[in-house]
Amino acid sequence: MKLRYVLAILAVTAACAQTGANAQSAADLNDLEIAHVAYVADNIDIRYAHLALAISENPAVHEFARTMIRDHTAVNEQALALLAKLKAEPQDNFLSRNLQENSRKLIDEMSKLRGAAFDKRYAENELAYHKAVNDLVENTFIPNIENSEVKALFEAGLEIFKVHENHAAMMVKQVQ
Amino acid sequence: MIARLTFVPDRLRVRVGDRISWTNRDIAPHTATALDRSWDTGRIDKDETKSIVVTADLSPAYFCRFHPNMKAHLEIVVDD
Repeated sequence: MKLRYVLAILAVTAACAQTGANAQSAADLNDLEIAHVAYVADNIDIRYAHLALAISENPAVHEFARTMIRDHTAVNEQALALLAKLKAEPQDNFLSRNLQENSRKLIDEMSKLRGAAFDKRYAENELAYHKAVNDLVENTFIPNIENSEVKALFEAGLEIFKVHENHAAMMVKQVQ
Repeated sequence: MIARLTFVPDRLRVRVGDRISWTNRDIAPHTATALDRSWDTGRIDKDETKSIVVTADLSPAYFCRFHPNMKAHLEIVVDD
């Protein structure tokens, strides 16, 4: 159910009808908007991980959270270095804002949980979040990115995030 | 070598006294760590290399502590 919830958010934000003058479809985002979404999505997962380190007492959850901070930080550093090389700035957009708004609600919800209830919610969300973002990156972002270096970075990132998805699936079983 | 979140090769025949080196070609940091934790290269960042020297009693199965699904195996040949 959690997965369906996240997928629904992404589906709605990615595919909702065009409103006003601005395109409201993930498929219409340009490279710099896509880079912004990815940077925001990375930082959201880093925030979830810090929350997990603060609340959870489960070593498997801590290990996963530390990997999320380490890997998403490394990917973001590469992304910023590439943007600096290209003399480009990531561009804020509707999907970045929706992701941030949804993450704020989830952080409020998870902050109130403790013990096994927190671990279960964190693990299930990590699995759902990685599935949803990986699907977006693989099927919408990568096919639409025009710059070859940006595309290569997303392809490398996707390989890492697919490993995270498998790791999250393992963590979900561990916290049952 | 470590590339695309796999140890390459994932099975390696080595002799006692050999030095095994892992160079990380990924963005994500990795480790090479014995499954029984008896040896550990520590964190290997992008384009960094870490190595160990093979001993007769070296534990052969290893993984990445940061990405536990990444696994590999050494075959240790002991000279007569």
